[in-house]
Amino acid sequence: MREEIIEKKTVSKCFNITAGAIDSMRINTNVETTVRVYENEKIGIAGRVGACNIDELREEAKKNLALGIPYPDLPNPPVERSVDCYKEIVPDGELVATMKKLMARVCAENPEFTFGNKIIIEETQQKYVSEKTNYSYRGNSLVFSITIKFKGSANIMDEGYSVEVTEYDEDEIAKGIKKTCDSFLSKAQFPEGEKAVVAIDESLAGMMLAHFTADYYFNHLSLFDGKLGEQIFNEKFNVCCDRDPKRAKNLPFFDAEGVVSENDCAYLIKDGVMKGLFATKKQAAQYGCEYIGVAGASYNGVPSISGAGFKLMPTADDISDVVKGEVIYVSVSSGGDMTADGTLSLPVIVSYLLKDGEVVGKLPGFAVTASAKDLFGKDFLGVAKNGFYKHSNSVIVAKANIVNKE
Amino acid sequence: MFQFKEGFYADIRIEDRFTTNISIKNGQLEEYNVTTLKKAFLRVFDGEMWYYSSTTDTDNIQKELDSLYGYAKANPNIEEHPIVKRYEVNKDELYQFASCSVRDISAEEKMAKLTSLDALLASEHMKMRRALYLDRNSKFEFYSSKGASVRYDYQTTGVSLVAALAHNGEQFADALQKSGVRFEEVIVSEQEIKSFLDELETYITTAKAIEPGAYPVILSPLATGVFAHESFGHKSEADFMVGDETMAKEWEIGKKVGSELLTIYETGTLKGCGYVPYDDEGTKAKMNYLIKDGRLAGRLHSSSTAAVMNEELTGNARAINCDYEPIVRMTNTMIQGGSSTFDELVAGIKHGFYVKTIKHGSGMSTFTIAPSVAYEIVDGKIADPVKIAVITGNVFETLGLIDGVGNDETALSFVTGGCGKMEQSGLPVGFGGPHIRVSKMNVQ
Repeated sequence: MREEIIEKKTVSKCFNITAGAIDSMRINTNVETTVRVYENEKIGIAGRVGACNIDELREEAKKNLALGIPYPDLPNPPVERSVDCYKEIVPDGELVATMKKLMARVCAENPEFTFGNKIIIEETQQKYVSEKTNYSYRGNSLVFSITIKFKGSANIMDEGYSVEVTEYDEDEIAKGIKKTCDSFLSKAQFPEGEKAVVAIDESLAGMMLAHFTADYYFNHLSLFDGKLGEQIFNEKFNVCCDRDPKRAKNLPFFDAEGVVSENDCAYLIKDGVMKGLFATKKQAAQYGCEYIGVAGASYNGVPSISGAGFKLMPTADDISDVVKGEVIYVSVSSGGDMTADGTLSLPVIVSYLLKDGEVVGKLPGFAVTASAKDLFGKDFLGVAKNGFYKHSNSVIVAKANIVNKE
Repeated sequence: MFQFKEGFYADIRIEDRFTTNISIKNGQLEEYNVTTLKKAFLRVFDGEMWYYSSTTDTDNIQKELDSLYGYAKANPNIEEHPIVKRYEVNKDELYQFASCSVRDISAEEKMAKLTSLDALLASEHMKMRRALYLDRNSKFEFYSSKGASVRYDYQTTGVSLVAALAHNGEQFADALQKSGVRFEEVIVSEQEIKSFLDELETYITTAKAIEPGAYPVILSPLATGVFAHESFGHKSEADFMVGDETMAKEWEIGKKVGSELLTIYETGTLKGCGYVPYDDEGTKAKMNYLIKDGRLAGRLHSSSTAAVMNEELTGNARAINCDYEPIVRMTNTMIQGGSSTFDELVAGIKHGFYVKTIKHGSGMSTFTIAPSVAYEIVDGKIADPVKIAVITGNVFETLGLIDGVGNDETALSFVTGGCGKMEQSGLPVGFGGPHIRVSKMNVQ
């Protein structure tokens, strides 16, 4: 009977921002332990939050084999690897004062706006042990997730500033927020024509994720049915789940099943070719596809697929490196979706017209529509590593239809 | 029970949560998960800052509390602080589900219910199916340094039957969900499943593309509920107004914000997933009108926001679990029923659309709903199924464009999904209303 033990500890401090001021600090320490056992193509799982006795957990997992949940026993290679990316970002004793100073500066530099939401510093320690596989990871990051509201606006928020960093640079953060606020106050007019070059957060590609799951693909539910191994998108288009410790922040290099992707990066699309599928070991065995290291799991749950580390590989540093001239940068959108035939629609609330990377001004509301196949195919221009400010998500740059202009 | 220190406000929330999650995919058991987790969340306030921590070591809460006091500075006037003064001091024990707890339903009964329903999921173009059984029973305790002592329970149980179909290179998935607060309430008939699958078959084989544009739209009670939640519910959460005096003035009670046909209310008293008899600051649930006859009637508060805006508590301070502090959240958000029948609403439309089921919704100044099953309306009659990616509109414009309100107000409860706000996602909320007609919405 093979056994897996997974231990995860997260320690976080979270600061709440109300009306631009830090008004609370939350301290969380969370310890989760999981034991999985495999026997006769079945899985037994037991998990605890907090202190636990591993022998008791092991017995409970064995008992849970009787639930009869089918699961293949696919051991991982006998590899030992330990990665420690932890480095102090802000000394613990200076955290409150440092964050209060930052927010005071942000408020003073942007008096027409009010700020809210969270700043979170978190450390993760995770271990995966099974037979001769032994992985451990330690990392940390500082997340600024700040809502920006123009004073007097009837909206719950107008803009946002969101970055995850491993080094604290007050000037860089203040600069990013100020650029966002200044841009919000400016005005521009739409470029002529119904089609324009747009730059949209890489998470847009997440709308298609279901179509890259093994479940969808092998049940003929994917828009890309039968296309595995074929060129389906522009040859510059690369989508992956990136767990490379050099790039991924506070994310273990192994997935919830102890699978390590080739070069720590699981490609779904490489050079426009449909390369891999979201599959757990169970789905991979069921459908006869590869498992590439994209499993997640709750502490006492059966592994399922996870989009952790999902990203589009940049083709250039900045938007202006991808394309010169006018680009509409989509900053805030509202819950787009796709129809059954793959037509994508994204209502845009806040966007800025850029010219050669410089902000011309804020545009009125509109919606982007496009065929997903075209947006990442013939109309795709590239992915810029830097969006609107340093450390932001990458952005997709492509031609798309602009409709419903306000 | 707990020793609270002088010079601070403090409270302790304890949740003993039991959940069951059974999933059968394409006839094979995929997940069978029973979880019991007891956790506590502690808050200490010194008048300037809040300090929070959570612990699973519920036998040593006092030790955790004493440690948390170490971060704060004693304030002799803390009792006079406007936030602290507002806190209700309720003493109550409100166990509604002790005699019908899902903790006491055997695994065999839950599995039998699910497998019998899964066996009915079959149709021509269905490529994948999933049957889910989910339940939760929570026992809450709340104690504060002001003397509050509240204990109550919460329960939901239900099934979700998901069918994914494909035809001619297009795919479509939808779910039939039934939920309640008692295991025996969750009944799905063979006929209901057949009707659900028949409709999906018709949709996948005949739904046509639409010409994007502005059209009159009828929303089903489900879509109406999402619209109420996304379009106005979030805007009513008062934490978004704190620090913005202009906005507070702009949102003066009594201001006309929508059609005279429109009344939206919010309450934690409805049994279902949005049942919150006491919020996570110990405030008793109330009936709160957000819009009454088209005019702004109220907003949702925690004690912090009520103190800043000098308004009354509403019972809307909630956290998704004992890892997080309570923030202003919705409970059950409803559009109040009117007088029109569904046929009367449809009859008033020459060319428009009917949104029957939805995938998701979101909202800021513009709200967006992604329909699942939708139909064209032609000459006052429901016509062919159509493929719509999203319907959107400016919130305030759309609230003013409601020109028909059905007489079929329906409160809905769910066992999947939930509301996300900031870092806290998946909060169970109920919503609903009647069919409503909006004279113009952007349909894409």
